[in-house]
Parts: sequence; C-alpha cells; structure tokens
Amino acid sequence: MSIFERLTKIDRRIIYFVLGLAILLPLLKPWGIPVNVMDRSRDLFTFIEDSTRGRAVMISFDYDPQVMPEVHPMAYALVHHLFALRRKVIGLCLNVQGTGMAVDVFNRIAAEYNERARSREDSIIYGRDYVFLGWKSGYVAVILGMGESIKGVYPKDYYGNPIDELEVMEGIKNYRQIGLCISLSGAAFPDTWVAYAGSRYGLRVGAGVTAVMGASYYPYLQTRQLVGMLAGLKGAAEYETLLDEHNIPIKKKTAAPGMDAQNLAHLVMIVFIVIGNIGYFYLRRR
Amino acid sequence: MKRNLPLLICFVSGTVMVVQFFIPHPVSRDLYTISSKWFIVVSAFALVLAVGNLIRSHYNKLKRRLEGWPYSIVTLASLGVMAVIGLFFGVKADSTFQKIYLNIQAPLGATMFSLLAFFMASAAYRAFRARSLEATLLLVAAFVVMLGVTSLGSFIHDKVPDFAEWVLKVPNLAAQRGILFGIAFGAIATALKIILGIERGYLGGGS
Amino acid sequence: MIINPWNIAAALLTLFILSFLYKDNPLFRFAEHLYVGISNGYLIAITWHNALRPNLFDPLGRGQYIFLIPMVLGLLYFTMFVKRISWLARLPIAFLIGWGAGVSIPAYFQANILKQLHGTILTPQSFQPQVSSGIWATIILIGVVATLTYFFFSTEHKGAIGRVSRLGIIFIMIGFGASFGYTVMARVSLFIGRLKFLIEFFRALF
Repeated sequence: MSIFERLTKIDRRIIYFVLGLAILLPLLKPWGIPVNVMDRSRDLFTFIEDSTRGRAVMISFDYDPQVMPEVHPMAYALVHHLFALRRKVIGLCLNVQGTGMAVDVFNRIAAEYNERARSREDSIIYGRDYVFLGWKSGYVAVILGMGESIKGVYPKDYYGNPIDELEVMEGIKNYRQIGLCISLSGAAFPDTWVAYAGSRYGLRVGAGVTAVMGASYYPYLQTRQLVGMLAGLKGAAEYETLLDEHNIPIKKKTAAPGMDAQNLAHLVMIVFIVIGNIGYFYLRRR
Repeated sequence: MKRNLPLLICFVSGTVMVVQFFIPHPVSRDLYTISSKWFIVVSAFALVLAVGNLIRSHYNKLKRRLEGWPYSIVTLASLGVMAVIGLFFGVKADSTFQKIYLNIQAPLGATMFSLLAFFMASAAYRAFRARSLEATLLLVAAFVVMLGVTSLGSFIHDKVPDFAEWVLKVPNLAAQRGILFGIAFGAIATALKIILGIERGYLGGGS
Repeated sequence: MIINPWNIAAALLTLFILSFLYKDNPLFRFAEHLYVGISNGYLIAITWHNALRPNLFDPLGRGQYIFLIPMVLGLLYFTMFVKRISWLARLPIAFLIGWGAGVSIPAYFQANILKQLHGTILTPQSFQPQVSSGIWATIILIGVVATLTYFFFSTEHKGAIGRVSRLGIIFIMIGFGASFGYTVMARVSLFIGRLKFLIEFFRALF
C-alpha cells in the first residue's frame, strides 16, 4: 500500500486517539487563547442590558442533559447576568428533561450571590427575585396560553406554590410585562417561541442553542425575530467574556476554559479531512 | 364512525383554531383559552402512554427471554425506582430525585451524545472529498466557519472571523431562508390537508 | 469538587459509556438501559407533579368538572391496548393533531413567510448606512430566489431555470458547509464537557 493510499485509510482508532488527545491536553494545561465575541452574542447581551429595564425576563430551559455541556454554561452565564442586573427572572421548561437543569442553574447561581450578600436586600431570594414555574406538556399550548394568562397555564410553580402568592409575579399577567424570553435549547424550540409568542403576542425572543442549530437561525437574526443568539459552548464562552468586559464577576467560568481544546480539535479535524483529500487526489490522478 | 368521528374532531378543532386567530371576540378567546388547557392535559396522557409502551415492550422482552433480556430488568427497575422516588419523596432541589438526575441521568445522556465527536471525525475524514465544485464549496465553507467562529481564525489573519461572519450572514442566510420558506409552505399545506381530512396518516391502519 | 458517592457514580457511568469507543460491551449496555429507565421514571414523576396534578386534578378537586372532558379524552389513549375498542384512541390524537394544525397555519404564515419575505425584499433603505449592506442584501435576495428555484420541481431544470437552480445549489452547499462547521463545533463541545468533568474528578481523587 503506497503512502497516499494509507492517507485515505487511516484506522478509526487512530483518529479517535488523536482527537481525544487534542481535547485532553489543552484541558490539562490551558493556554488561555482570548475568546473573540461574535455580533449575535453581543446583540443578546446589549438587549438584556438596555431593553429589559424594569421588566421581567423569561428563561425557557428547553434543553435536556444530552446537550448539557453546550447549553448549561450559557444558562449559568445568562442567569448570572440577570441576577447582577436585578431583573426579575421567570424560569420555565418546554422540555420535560430540562426541569432538573433549571433547578441546578438557579440554585447554584443564587447560592453564589448569597455567599457574597451582606443583607437581605443584597441577596437573591426565591419568590422575590426569581421563580421557576416548571414544565407543562404540549409546548405550543403552553406558549400560546401564557400569552393570555401565565397563571392560567402555571397556577403553581415547580415547587407547588400558587404563583399569585409570589412577590416576583406581582403585576405580571402575560407577555406584555415580559421584556425578553430566552429559549435555551437543543431542538427547534426557539423558532416555536418566535412563531407563536413572537408573531402573535409581540414577545421579544432570544436564543441559546447548540452549535448544530446555529447556522439555521441566521434568517431570524436578520429580521430581529431573534434579538440575539448564543451558539454552542463557544457562545457561552463569549457571554462569559462579555460579563468580564462589563465587570460582572463569575466565580467559576464553565465555558471559556474549554475553548483551547475546541480550537485544537477543530484544527485536528481540518488536518484529517485535508489528509484524506491529499490521498484521494493523488489516487485519482494516478 | 371509526374514521369519520376522528376526522370530524380534527376538522372542528383545526378550523376553530384558524378562525379564532382572525376573530378576537371574547367567545373565540375563551374557546382558545379553554382548549389550550385541554391540550396540555391530553398531551400529558400521551406521554404517560409512551412510557406505558416502553414498559410493555421491555416486559415482553423479559417474559420471552429475548436476547439482552437482563438489561430490560435494569430499565424497568431504574424506571420504577426513579418514578417512586419522584412521586412519593418530592422533586425539590435537595431531593434524592434531583441528585439522581444530576449525577446519573445527566452524565449518562451527555456522555452518550459526546461519543458523536469521534464518529463524526471518522466519518468526515472518510466522506469529505472535494470531488466537485459543490463538494469543494461545502468543505471551504465548513473550514471557514470552523476557523472563524473559534479564535483560530484570527491567528491566520485578523479578517478570517469577519469573513466567517459574512459567510453566515449572507450566503448561509440566503440558503437557510430558502429552506425555511420551503418548510413553512410545506407545513402550512400539510396542516390544511390534515384539517380537511386529506392527510389521514395519523389514523393508522384499519377501518 | 469534593468526592462523594454521587460523583463517583457519575464518573463510573461516564466511563461505562465512553467504553463504547473501543467496542460494544456489557458495561455500555448496562449504562444505556439505565439511562432509558431513569429518564422515563423522571418523566413520570414530573408529568404528575407539573402537569397532571396542577392542571387536571387540582381543578377537578375544586369542582371544575369541565376538566373531565380532557381527562376522558386522554384516557381514551389507553384503549389502544384493547383491540375491540382501540379505534377510540384516534379521538385524542385527532384533537391534538387538528388543534396543532389549526394554530400553526397563521403562526407559520406570519413568522416564517411574511416576516422572512420582509427581510428579503430590497428597498432604498437596504443601501443605508453603507452601500455594502445593500450589496449583501442583493446577494441574499438572489440566493433565496436561487435556492427556491432549486427546490422547484414543477418545471424541468433547463435553460435559464437550470442556471438559476445551479446557482441555488451553490448557496445551499455554502449553507450546508456552515452547518457542518457548526456541527463539528457542537460535537467537540459535548466531549469537552465530559472530559472536563472527568479531569476535575480525578484531580480531586488523587
């Protein structure tokens, strides 16, 4: 077998090993390559800063644990930002498997804030500053139903408290009082929010999606049906960078430390594809 | 009766939902609110049914001692334990239910999906060949995005990230929008066919 | 990270799944079946606490007997298991499908057709504040028309239509390439997440 033939027939275990190593080594010893921030991430950040003042922000945890490494860090960063800005936060789920994710994010970030808090005013308190409504089946009916009345769909929160007894829900009846809804998702939930809540009720929608879906949402970004979007772990790292730029401290970054591994893995992928093509062209010419 | 009644229900619920969109009368609004509450309840039963089917399938596998039947015990036992813990001991943040979710379910799901990195790398190496102009364009666009979206691109040239953004915002957007139009028209046509009883696949077989 | 039985279980199960990279084995299959069981058990508990109790049984308990209608409709699903009356399971399906189809028509029309058309048309404003934005908008318009032409199968792709459709495939390939680039990113990120966990775990262990 000539060398060019070999180039087209590298054993899959070698590919696995090299790719695994390319991801492992930078995680063991990060180089700290700076993260470049894309426009769509900056747009989401800016919208939250400037256009949600005095209004509540909804976060829809529409992802399941399968895509947790990509989307969970986004949820941490976004909730961090919203707590820092003291926006009222309303969490909910359209995907049943997302409820545990939401519980984890709210608990962890609220605990981080409360560790630093010096008074009750300074703290982040469940029911006063944020609420987690939980999940309902039939996501289209959930989105449409909340446009008329959030209480009609969610009479109680995830923990069984009647939502009209919660301070955070005072004055919030439906989407008219919501400044933005961010759908964090590994499936087509953001476009469902756009189609049903965006077009019918005028709710502004943002998205945090797995990178697989990133490219397909650009038409919505151009029409501003999505005010901004985070795509993949890189999107979460971009948001962490934006928080840094605006002096909002994060105790433990969950996305940015993975970016060196991401860079090197991309390079390895490109090299393998190029090697395969070199072999292919040589053999074709022969 | 067996075919016409479901077709009638489908027609009425579909037509009412289309009409109510254009008539913001209190009656149509109430109908819309009530029916959306019903929708939530009925679809919850559909999920219970799905789990019921899973239980039935594993139970049959176990009963007939089909290949891999001991694994069905794992599925059935873990399903039962998780459901009982959740139903009777609560789902709060500090509950055992949430701990199992975070430490067993989440790592399992996430790791299962993470295997795709390797399969994709191997498949891409084998399948991506610049055989034609189209295939070359696909490869070049992929490389530009892979380099430009991460920080790698700026090491090659500081304009690479800008070029990647342009690819995503202009030619990619045009293609995605074309596809989006196709999907939207297809979805609307299918929805109309369902309401009018032309598309009856959901009825299944039989009379 | 503080080592406890929970994260030991998480680490072990992560390794069980990763063992599939070598080859299929009983540890992987155990983990796979455990996942299916636990996630479905999770679904049952959440469906009860979050949907059936607050949205069906609580209102029924308050005397809102109108909710008997969706309850009966939902229960009809289970007639699937009784052959003689299994056709009744079509009724809840018909309700869900009809309702879903009805609400989707105006929503898709507004969000995915009208708004997207609005974003595609060229106006003098497209060329402001920079001329380049107008040029990109023109390329988008050409790309959308060409892509749609490629998917238009009612006419043979010959002559002018053939050339436009050929342009369409070029745009589509760039779009697919961009999607593929992003897919690589996604899959790698997923593995990064799991490896980060394992590194933290083993660092805490030793």
